[in-house]
Amino acid sequence: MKEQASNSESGAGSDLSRRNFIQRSAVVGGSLAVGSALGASGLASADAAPAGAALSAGEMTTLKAILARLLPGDDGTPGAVEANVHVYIDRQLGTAAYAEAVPLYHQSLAALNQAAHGSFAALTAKQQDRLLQRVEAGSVHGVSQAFFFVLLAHMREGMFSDPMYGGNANFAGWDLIGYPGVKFVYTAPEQAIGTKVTPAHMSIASVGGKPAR
Amino acid sequence: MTTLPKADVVLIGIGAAGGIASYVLTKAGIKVVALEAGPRLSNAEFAKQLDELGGYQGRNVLGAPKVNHEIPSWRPHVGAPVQHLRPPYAILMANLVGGTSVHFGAQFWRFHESDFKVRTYTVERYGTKALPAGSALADWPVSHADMEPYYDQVEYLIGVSGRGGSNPFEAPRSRDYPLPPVRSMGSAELATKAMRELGYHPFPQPAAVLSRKFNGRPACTFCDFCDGFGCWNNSKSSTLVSAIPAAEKTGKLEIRPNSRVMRILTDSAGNASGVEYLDSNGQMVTQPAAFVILSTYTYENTRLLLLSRSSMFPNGLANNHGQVGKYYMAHYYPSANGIFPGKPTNMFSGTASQGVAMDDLNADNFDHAGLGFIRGAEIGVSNETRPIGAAANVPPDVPMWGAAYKQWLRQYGNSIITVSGQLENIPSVHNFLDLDPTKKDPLGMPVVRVTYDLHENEMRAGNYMLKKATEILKAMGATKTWHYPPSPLAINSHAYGGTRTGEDPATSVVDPYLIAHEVRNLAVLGASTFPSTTGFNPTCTVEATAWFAAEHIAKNFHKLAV
Repeated sequence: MKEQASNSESGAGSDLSRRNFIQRSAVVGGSLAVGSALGASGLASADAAPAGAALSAGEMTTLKAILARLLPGDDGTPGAVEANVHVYIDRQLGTAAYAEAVPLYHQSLAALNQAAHGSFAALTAKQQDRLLQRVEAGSVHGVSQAFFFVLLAHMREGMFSDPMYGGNANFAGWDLIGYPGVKFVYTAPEQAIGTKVTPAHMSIASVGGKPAR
Repeated sequence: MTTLPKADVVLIGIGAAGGIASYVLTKAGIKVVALEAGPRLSNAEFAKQLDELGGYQGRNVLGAPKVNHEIPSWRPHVGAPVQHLRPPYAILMANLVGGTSVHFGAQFWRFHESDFKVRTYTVERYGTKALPAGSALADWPVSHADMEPYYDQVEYLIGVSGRGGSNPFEAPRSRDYPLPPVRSMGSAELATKAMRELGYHPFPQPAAVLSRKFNGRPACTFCDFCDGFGCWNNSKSSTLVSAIPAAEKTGKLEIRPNSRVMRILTDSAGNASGVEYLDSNGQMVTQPAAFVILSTYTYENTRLLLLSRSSMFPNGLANNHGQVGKYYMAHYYPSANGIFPGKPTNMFSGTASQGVAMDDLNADNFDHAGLGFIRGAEIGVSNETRPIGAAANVPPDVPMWGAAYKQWLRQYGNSIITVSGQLENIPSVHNFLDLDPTKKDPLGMPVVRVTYDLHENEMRAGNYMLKKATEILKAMGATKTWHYPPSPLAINSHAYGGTRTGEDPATSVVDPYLIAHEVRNLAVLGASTFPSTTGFNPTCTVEATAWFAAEHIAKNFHKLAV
């Protein structure tokens, strides 16, 4: 793998729909779907706002209901809500780096509730999935595809980042994908194919790491 | 404004190139003042940064002092709307003493003989008709034989692991690497076997990572936080732990961290006279110098020249021939993924420079007749994936959310192997850097605007490499493979050009010794001077060419200095 390989695959092509292109582009280094969706100014440089200040209680209810469908927890293992991904997102939206996304969340969550005739959270799981599929396809008024792909990117960040950021509670995300957690040493047998590496379940916070802003 | 006493040499940016130059100059007895926009950090700080979100996926903490606030804008061609990058992205530039050599993936390649004569070789073998439309392909003004002694000295100064002669396409070398290759791992062993079966010649990747103890630094422990991170174990051979401390031992290097250069100054005769910089207290300071070395990253090398206008250089310093910013290039990384069901592949470990590579489809190492493209890519298998990135890397037919997505992650999240390459990008008259007319950084300075796209040669070559990578995965036993079509990675940690080296001031900015054609006491170092990308990582050649240039400057200092 080259220096950016994990972030460099992107793009549109004959075997991919436009939908997939945007969806996958939103997470990769060289692509710009998120950027053009969110505006044109530079990165904000100020430090963080107080944690948990970005979304109202009502918005958090809607966000949790969406996350419960994006990565469900009804199969006996924790999903995004059980892993506190909503906590992660709310906290990040309170920082300068994510500030530009806040109006997008306000507007999109409201529009989604409107499309759900009042409350997305009150729909059945099946109805919620159907509505989210329409959002993904870009056919729900006021809820852009761009928002959906930003939300997916934030969901992955919250689920799979170090728990010190507020998500990935009890290492649920790392256990799901088979990532052992922070480990300072890998032995040769641990790098062999077929070896099951014992989860370290270690956060970098345990040796003094702090969330980056 | 404070004006300080005149320095022999002022160095703007002490990273891969600047770190090596500071070593060579101070060893020759020349006093160097190095101005670095970022702080000086050590492995104790890096030990608290094993954090994918902080280091790689969007935050880029090592870029916080400067580059995160001046991300270049991008348009694919003149006339297209300009786009601005937003998080999450990996923008692998760093501001700290040691620069990008602190957080690079540490694959450490010498270029081929044919890489330095890329136009001549291409035309001799395939004719001028093989040159792509819009091509600005040029030979380097130096040869591999010129560079070999400097490659060798760099490898032995910093500590590089590899096995000389294991790559049949490698140019002649005067001696083996100072250290044996880093340890192999399961995915690389599987790939090695498959590549051999397919008739290729795999070998261990050369790595600026220690396989054994070297100069008091310990061997790598394969922690999975190398590419994008500083090394907590001092096992990565950055200039921060090699060339720079050695230069400081001479007593002739003064490093001023948190010092951001705003402008290069010129005198009435058009010579460089020093720099203006914001010091660590935010005060503007003038540092006069007899010789100025510009050794920042590719984007800033062009930007600082364009921002340093004067009556003698109304279009930017060293730009009276209009060449600054031209022939921008960036790697595209063809990558194919395969699933190996039921087996943990343990890609969540190791370092990006640990692994296997093959050179059979790179450069002009294979016959391109009938293929419709020139040049190629180094292809290999490395580990060092991390969970946020891995969670986005799913096949096109798998949904990106919902129960099926979760099930897929559980079943295959740790059963993937990626075969990937880095494709040579042919320089084009259509790809260039200039200043963005609207977007500015927080200090009010315009950011760089990148005009860049992949053209037909890269598209054809890229698709060819994806096909070959997929064949390798199948030979390895992958039950399912997938990849995405080639697309431009405009803002890139492998970024080249803007201040190209050459003999002719009409088509290049710096001479063969990397001294500006138009300013005798100004040198520009880094991949911004490369006439071609090659299919290899740049840093080894960045450091070798910096050594070559610094030695020339030291030998001729009294003629060049003003």
